[in-house]
Parts: sequence; structure tokens; C-alpha cells
Amino acid sequence: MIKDRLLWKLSIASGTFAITAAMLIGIGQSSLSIPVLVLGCVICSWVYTDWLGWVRLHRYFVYLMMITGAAFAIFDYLNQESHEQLYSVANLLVYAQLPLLFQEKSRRIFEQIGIFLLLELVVAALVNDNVVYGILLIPTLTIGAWVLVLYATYITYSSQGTKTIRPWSWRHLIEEISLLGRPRTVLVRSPLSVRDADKRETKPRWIEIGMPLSASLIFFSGTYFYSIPRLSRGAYGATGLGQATVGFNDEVLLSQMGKILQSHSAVFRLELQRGNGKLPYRPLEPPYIRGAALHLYKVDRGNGGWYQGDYSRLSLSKQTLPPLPHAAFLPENEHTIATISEQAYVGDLAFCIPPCYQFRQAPEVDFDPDVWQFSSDRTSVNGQATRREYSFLTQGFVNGVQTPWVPESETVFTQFEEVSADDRQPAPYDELSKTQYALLTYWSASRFAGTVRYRDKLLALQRDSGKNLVDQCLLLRDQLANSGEFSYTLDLSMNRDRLLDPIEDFVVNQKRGHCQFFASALAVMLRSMGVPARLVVGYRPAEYNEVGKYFLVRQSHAHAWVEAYFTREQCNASSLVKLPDNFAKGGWYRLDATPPGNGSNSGRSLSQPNSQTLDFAQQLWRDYIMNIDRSSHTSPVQSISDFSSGTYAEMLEKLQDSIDQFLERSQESIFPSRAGIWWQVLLVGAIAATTAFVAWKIFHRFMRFGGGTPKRKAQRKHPKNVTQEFYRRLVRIIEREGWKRHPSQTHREFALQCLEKLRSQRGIEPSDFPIAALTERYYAMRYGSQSEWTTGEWQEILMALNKVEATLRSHPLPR
Amino acid sequence: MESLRAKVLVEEEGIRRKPSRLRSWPTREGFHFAFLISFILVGAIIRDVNLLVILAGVLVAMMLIQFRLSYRSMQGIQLTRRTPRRVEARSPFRVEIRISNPKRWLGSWLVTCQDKLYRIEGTAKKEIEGASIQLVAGHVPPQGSVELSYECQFPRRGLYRFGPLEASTRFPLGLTQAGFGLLDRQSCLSLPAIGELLPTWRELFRVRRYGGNAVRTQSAAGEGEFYGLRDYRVGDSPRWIHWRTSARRNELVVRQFEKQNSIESCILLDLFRDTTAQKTEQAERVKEAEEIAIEFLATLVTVLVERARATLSVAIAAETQEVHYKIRSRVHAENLLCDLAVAQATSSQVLPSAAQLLATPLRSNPYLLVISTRPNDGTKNDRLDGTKDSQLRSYVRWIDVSQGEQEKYFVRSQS
Repeated sequence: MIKDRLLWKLSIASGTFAITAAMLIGIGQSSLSIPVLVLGCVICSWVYTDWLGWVRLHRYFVYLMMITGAAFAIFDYLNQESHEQLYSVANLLVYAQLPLLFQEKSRRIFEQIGIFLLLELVVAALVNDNVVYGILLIPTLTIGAWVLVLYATYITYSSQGTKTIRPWSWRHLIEEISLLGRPRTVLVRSPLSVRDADKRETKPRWIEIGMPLSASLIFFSGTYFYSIPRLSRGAYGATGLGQATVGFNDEVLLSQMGKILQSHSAVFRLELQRGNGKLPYRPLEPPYIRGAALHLYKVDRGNGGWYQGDYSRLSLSKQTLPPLPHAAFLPENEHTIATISEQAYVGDLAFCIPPCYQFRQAPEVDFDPDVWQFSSDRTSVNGQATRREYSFLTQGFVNGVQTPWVPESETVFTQFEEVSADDRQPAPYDELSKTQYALLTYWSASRFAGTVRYRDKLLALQRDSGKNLVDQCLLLRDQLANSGEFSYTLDLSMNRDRLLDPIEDFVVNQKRGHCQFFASALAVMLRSMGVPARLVVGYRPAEYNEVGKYFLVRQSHAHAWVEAYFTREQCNASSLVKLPDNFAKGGWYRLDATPPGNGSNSGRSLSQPNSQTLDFAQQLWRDYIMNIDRSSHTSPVQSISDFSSGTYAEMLEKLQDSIDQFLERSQESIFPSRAGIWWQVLLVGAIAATTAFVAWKIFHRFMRFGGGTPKRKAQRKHPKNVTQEFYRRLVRIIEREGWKRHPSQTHREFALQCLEKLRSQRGIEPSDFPIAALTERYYAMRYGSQSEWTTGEWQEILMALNKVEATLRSHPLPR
Repeated sequence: MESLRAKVLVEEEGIRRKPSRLRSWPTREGFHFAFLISFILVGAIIRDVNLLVILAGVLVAMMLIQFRLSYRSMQGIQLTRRTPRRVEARSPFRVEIRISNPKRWLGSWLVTCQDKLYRIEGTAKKEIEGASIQLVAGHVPPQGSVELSYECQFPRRGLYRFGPLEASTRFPLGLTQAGFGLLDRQSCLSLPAIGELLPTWRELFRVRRYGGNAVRTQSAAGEGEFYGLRDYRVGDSPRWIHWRTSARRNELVVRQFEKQNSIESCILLDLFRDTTAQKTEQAERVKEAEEIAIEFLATLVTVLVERARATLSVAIAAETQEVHYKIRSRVHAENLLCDLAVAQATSSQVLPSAAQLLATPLRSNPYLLVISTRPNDGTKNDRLDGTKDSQLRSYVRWIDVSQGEQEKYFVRSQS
């Protein structure tokens, strides 16, 4: 009966475990199909197999179904892209496990289901990086532990019963093989009774076990997780498979930007802090985060796009971001520390807020000073691209508002190569080389005739048109953004004139488009006026997480704007724009021509995302769980080195370097060359085994597992006799009264002394205080022939002890 | 010759009650688990996948906690077994096991107790076959104890041995098992089953020489035990007059006696095994005849001593020859039953020498009842030819069990 009940409970628990494991896989796959399939099968198996017993598949039929499911999943695997093949492995496990649910449950079935579920947990860990996985993992493991407890109970009760033991012999073996053997003797019948000898409550108090068990599990797992050494850095970022799915590269087509804007994938997190690095910095409006500066516009097969072009004048464009040259540069601007943590597999291009400088140490990205642009080759860990995290100092904000000016790099940094005198563009653009100027002002008059006409029409609106170039530029921007003639949309399904350039078509006919159309139109107009202009793509996030104090940048926050180069003279003539004093001859001014509204990223104000708490939890999960790597650990050598000085410190640092180099080399050698993986695995296995052995010995020695202390050994040699426990309890009761047996006294003498004292001090009669009888019992056990008590004797002893205790309690010592 | 019964007693005196060392070992599920952990650990370390590290951490924690908890919960647990020393074959009896937990705080859960029983054959005390039983105590509370018991029944006479008694637990997760054994080997003697004597049993002791009367012995007074006094009646023997009381009462008073029909006889058990019986069925029949012979004798002795106040002298012609003189009490009878419990048939001719052991009682009462597993050869009692004392062959009644001659007097116990 108890076995049937346990079987039913176990079936419920293992089914629930299967559902939660499937949910973990479903979260990783961002799909509900697997959890729903498992849920349906589990409920059906509960009802039709376990409860009603209508469906109980034969073992071989189940095997056939498992093979079919596996074949289906393998076929799926072969047709998947590499980064989705793990999903097929997860499906394989689920398909193979489901038929087992419809078999009549037994120990073997539960074992098989358990192994499949554990493997599902492993695969779920590989396809997940979501905090929901972490949240669901706790109930999943709790249910898993519940399944194990029930399984252990079921196995224990299943083993209850009798079996015949026969010595090994060929005859018995043949009898058993041929099934001719018959039980010759039945020695033992089924158990008659199990009862509690002390008539106590026999139900186990699960809280006694459950609480310490859970606490121990969490404590151990946490300690283990943070103490186990990691071999590599950036391993979490390296878990991504395949190509970059977010970010930009140095070619942005008009159609591409439309697709980017429709994606809600997270790209990176931007955290701003004040210059002291302690307080968060919250700007008043969404920041413009610079990605790539694009200089060349081309149309390829009717699709227009912007390209970086051959702009950079430095022979080596990859430089280390230099520190702030002197504190007096842009003194009115706020010093803000920006930290960017990529959330997905971003391309080579990295992001910044210019003007930016090195903070404490150079970020692990390269800097192109000509265009204020970060980039890096994708570093590889385990053969996969990594996610990056980098910090820099920026002077891009003044009183919470982002400055529209970007200085020419040679104004700020003197160490970079300057434009040679011969290559200089004649004044007023002599900060630029001839090549750069040509690239920045290039446009085709034949292709943009309509755009120029429209430009002239707009400029005609200004009464003092032609007076000031800068004001004219600002007018064009405002007219495109705010006149109402143009509107922002992501719907690009309009009928385009294929004979026209896409920008020309946008300005003349469509007058609807996304930010890149507006920026492109403005750039063309500015170039047509001789103003050097370039398109900048990046992000303008409006989601500010107040809980975590960071911007969560998504693909939908992608934005394009124009940077126009204005000289000091041009600015001085303008009443609207003033070039900062520290800028030498001119600077780049940001012009955002995108109209606000309709989902545009222009003109937005900061907002809080609906799920900011979950986002923050996700962030914590990534920071403190997913991102833990070798850089999070301080090695023992490093710790010792920090406390050392002089030669020792140098020696230890060298040792640390050697270890790092060895690990790096190992890391490189393990994964590209698969031939060498086995000795590495063996090495790791050997180290793990040695560590485990040493830990075991230490544990064994000091934690009293096996050997124990001499005292413990002595205790084991002379185990406590439980039958004398009653006398110990008696002694404890009496000791509470302050009486203790003198070493010279026998137990009998002590008992008599106690009785005498009780009679004289408290008036207790010996009949009310059966110490003498208990002492005699003790003598009989200790020195006599009695080796054990009968149940009746035990009851007498317990009653006597209770009587002793009650008597002393009811007759306290008179004060 | 040291009897087997003595050996049993020696063994019981030397019982080792010390428990073996508590140890812990992985279960089958634990091995599966450990394999998966190693698989995950290697993957986690090589690929640095933190979620795998967490998963591995939790699984390792489960393994360690399981190991520690199961080990700790079994520490200090004490076992005691209570068994009868002697039981009757085919009669159920109860074995009690007490599990005590002296720990102050920590209880023990799912404690499995495994007890084993073996039948021991021959003087070499070889364990030939047995059974094991597992009992489960769901919870043994701290500073408490639980009693488990099971019913047991030995199908045959002989010496049986309990133990070793083992206790273990796989609580809470079933990944490891911790336990210890109690090296306590208690022996129990299964006495021959006592059957039922049919009313015709008296014919066994009816000897022709006494003209159809049973062998009787009289008390020292000649008339039986003194019972009381009564008035004299005509025909009363003058010897019965109680003169002192008659003088006091001034009338004749006679003593009253209780008449006793006490049987005094000698019985010889001949446990001969014909080794020429090759076929299994024949061998089984021979063994069955031996058992019947022993049970018949055991029943005869028990019933006669308890109910008919008989005085019997019994000799056993078996592998070891035993003799019991003047069995007249239950204790004596039980001693005989102990020897019968371990008696082994023999193929050698030991009957004459066994009969010789009964020479002394046969001198006073020459009637001899032979219970044998073989027929008597001819009419001249050839089986007893080797007997020195020719008087022993004078008044012999031969019961051949193999031919079912006992069925007239005896029915085996069916329990």
C-alpha cells in the first residue's frame, strides 16, 4: 500500500520535474513548444497511464518510439545552423524521454527518466543566459531534490521483504537459469509489525531536514561557484555562436537601417558615472552614442548606402585611446565615466561619446582619432567571439545636456600625426587634408538636382539667406525635422521611383522615411553648399533604468545624424552657434534632421522601461553569475605579491605572468587544435582527482569523517551502551539539584545519600523517589548478567525516571 | 565427545555484540549521478560555462550533503535482536529488532534493517541455505527507539544462525548509503516438530510376557502415592489400615492410594541412511523417513513424559551416538529434543553399539522399542546381532518408518 502511494507521488514529482526542465529549455529557445508538449504528455501519462491504467506501452514499443524521436531530432540537427544545433540536442532528449512516461512505472523507468532530465538541465544551461533560468532553477532543483527523496523512499520500501539466500553452486546456477529451481525452504514470512518502542510520534519532521538541506545546498553551491578557478577570461561572451547579430559595421545601407530599427534586441548597457566614479550620472535627455562616421555615399543596384571611405589619414588608424591631455581642456564640460557592457554579439565596431579619453587604463578597444571611433578585432576565446566591456572618460555633457560639438582630434591630442603642410586643404578648412575635404564634400549634382532645388526653396524662406552659412545649415535641419512636410516612418513599402537616387526620391517624392533618409538628405544638401559633412550612425537610447542607473541600448534605438564641419569664422558670424574657445580652427557640429514622433529616436525624452526591475535582475545575473571568469579571481600568487615588496614582489609578479602566459597558451592550444584536447582533459581530470583526494584526506583527518581524533576513536572502541542511558539521565536530573557523586562513593552509596538528603531537607519519602531501584537496575546491567531490557522493564524504568523528575520538580528546595 | 549442542552454547557465549565500523558507499543512482557530475564538471571547467559550474556545484553539494547526512544519521545507532534459543520446527515465532537512536537532535530516517538466517548442517557448521529479510523503520526519533519484528518459521529441525544484522539508510536523496553491521551471530535450535499420537500408541508398550498389560512400576509402598484416609470397607487389605488414626477415632481407617500406571521403557532410534539410493526421489524419500522417525520419537517422548508420566531411556544410533537415561521430566525431554534436532543419519552399522548403551535399563526392563528407517531383517532380530548382551535381543518391537509402520500410532504436525 505504502509502495503504491509512493509510486503515485513519485510519478507526480517526476512529471513536475519534467515540466520545469522543459520550461528551462523553452526559455533558452524562446519558444513554448517544448514545454507545452511535455506538459500535455505528462498530464496524459498521469491520467491514462498512472491513474486509469489504460495506456501502458510495451517496453519494445517504447524503445521504437524513442528511436523514432531521436531520428527526428537528429534530422533536425543536421538541418540547423550551428548555433541552433543545441536546440536540436535538447529536443532529442525530450523526444526520447516522453515515451517513457507512458510505460508502467518501475525503478528502471524512473532511473531512465531521471538521467534524461539531468541531461536536459545540462543542455538548458548551455542554451540559456537569462535570469529567468536562474529564478526557475531554484524550484526546479527543489523539485529534483523532492523526486530524489521520494525515489530513495520508494527504493527503500521496495527492498522490504524476504529473499532466499543460497550458496553458490553450479547446481543452483543451472536451476536458476533453467527456471526449474523451486524454493526449497521458506524461512521467513512477511514482516509482522513495525512499531515505535517508546510510543512517540514516528512521522518524520521534514522541516528538520528540509531547512538545513536547502541552506547547505545554497551555501555550498555559492561557495563552490565563486571559489572554483576559471581558466579563461570572457568565457561568457564567448558562449555566443555564429556571427554578430546586433550593432553596425562600416557600411550602412538605407534598407539595413530600417531592419535594425525594427529589432528590439539588446545591444549594450551604458552606465554613466560622475568623474569620481562613485555617483551615477543621469543626463537630461537621451545621449547620442557614436558608432561609425560614414563619409562616402554610394548607390549599388538601386540601394543607397553610406560607407566609411578612405578617410583616415593615419598610417595606423588603430591607436590606444590617450588620456585627457590637460585638465583645462573644456573646463565647463562635466567629466563623466562611461562604461559600455555589450549584451550580445556586437560587430567589430565599438561605441563612444566624444570627446572621450582614457580613464585609469586604456580600454581594450582601438581608437581612431580622425573620426572619434572605437573598434577592435573580435578577440577569440574558445574559438568564439567575445563580448566586450570598456570604460572611458567623456566630456560630452554640460549640465546634463550633451554638447553638439566634437573637436578635431589634433586640437586635443598632440601626439597624433598632423596633416602635412602640402596636404592641407586651403583655409578655412586647413585642419582637414585635401583628401578628407574632397570626401566630405563629394556629391553628384546630376543625381541630386531635385534635392538642390528643394534646398534652395528652403533657403529662400530665410529672409537674410546667404548671409551666414551656419544659420543656413541649421535652417535646413529645422525645415527637414519640423516643417511637417516630412514624416518619420519605418514602413518602407512605398512605391519608389527606381530611376531616381533613393535620397533624391525621398526628398522630391516620398517625404517619408527613417532617420538615415533625413540625415542623408541633410548631408547631401550641406555638401552641395560646400560644407564638409558626414553621416554618423549610433544609438540614442531613451530607456533609463532607474533601479540599475544605466541605459539599456537596443537595436530599435539606432539612429543616424549629420556632423558638419564649421570653422571659427563661420561660427563667429552666426548668431545661433558658438564654437567652444578651446577648439582651434573649427569643429564638428551635430545636426539631427529626423522629425520627432511616430517612434523616431529624435526628440525623445528619457523614460523608464516597464520591466526595469527584471532588466536589473538580468544585469545582476550577468554581472555576478554569467560573467565570472578568470579576471574575477585573484590568484593566490597575486595575493601574496600584493603583500610583498622588493625582489620578492618582482619575483612573484614574474611567476604570475608565467602562469598567465601558460594559461593563455593552453587556452589557445586547447581549442583550435582539437588533437591536443585529450591531454588537456586528462590534465584537468588529474588535477581535479588530486585536489579531491587531498581535500578528502584533510576532511577525513580534521572533520572526523573516518579516522577522527583519538577521543573519537576511543569512543568508537567503547561505544556508549544505550541501556545505561537511563542512568545517565538520572545522574543529569540529580546534578541539576547540585548533587554530584564523589569519586570515592559507589553508586549505591550515592543513592542512599540522596535519599537521606531528600528526606531530611524536603520530606520526600523513598517510595516517591525510586533512585534505589534505578541504581539496582544499573548494577544489574553494568555488573550483573543482564544484557538487555524487555519492553516491560523499559517502561518501568522510564516511569521511574519520570517519577524522579516529577518529585524533584514538585518538591523544590525550601529557600 | 563434545556434542553439537555444547558447541552451540559455546558459540552463544562468545557472541560479539560490537558493531562493525560505520561506512558509506555510493548507490547505483549515486554512481549515475557521479558520472553525470564528472561529465558536467569537465565541460564546465574546459568551456567555462558558468551555468554548468552552478549546476555542477548544486549536484556536488547534493552528493556531499547526502554523504554527510546519511553518515551522521547512522552514527550512534544501536541494534539489538531478541530471538528465542529453541523453537519447534514448522511453528511460527517472532524475532524482535530494536533500533535505538541515542543522539540528542538528529533523528534517523528510512533505516533499513537486514537480517539473515542460515541453516547450519553438520559438525563443521557449514551454512547451507538461508533467507534474508529487510525491514524499514521510517523514522527513529532522537533519543528514541523503534522496534521492528518479523515472523519466522523453520521448515525443518536443525541448527539455524541469525545474523549478521545490518542497518543502513539511503536518506535523504538516495545517492549514497551509510550503514554498519552488528557482528552478532545468534544461534537458534529448531527442535523436531511434535505431532500427535493416536490412541493406539499404547499397543507399542504392550508386551506378551505380561499377558497384555502394560509395563508398570509401582511406588515404594506398593500401591501408589498416598492420597488420603477413609473408613474401612470389607475387602480392604489389612495392610492399608492406618493404625494411629484408627486408635484415635476408635474405628478402622484405611489409607487411600492413587494408582499409578507409569510406563518404563527403552527406545532406540535407528537413523540409518542407505547410500545406495542414487535417484533424487529415493534420496528424498530416505530423508523424509529420517525426519518422520525423529518426529515420531520426539512426539512419543514428549507426550509420554508429560501425559503418561513415563520413564524412558532413549539411545540414538546416528552419526553421533547419544543416550538419555530415565527421561521423566520436561527438561530431560527437551535435552533429548536438542540432540534429535541436530542428529544426522549415518550409513555405518552403529545400531548394536547404540543398543549396548541401553544395556543397564534393559536389565530391569528388557522391553526395547526400535524406531528405524529400515526394516528388520527376518525374525531373529539380525540388526542387533553385534550386541554383546544377548538379553537385549529378547523383547524387541521394531517400527520401520520407511514402510509407514508408524502411521498406526502417529500423525505428523501439519503446521
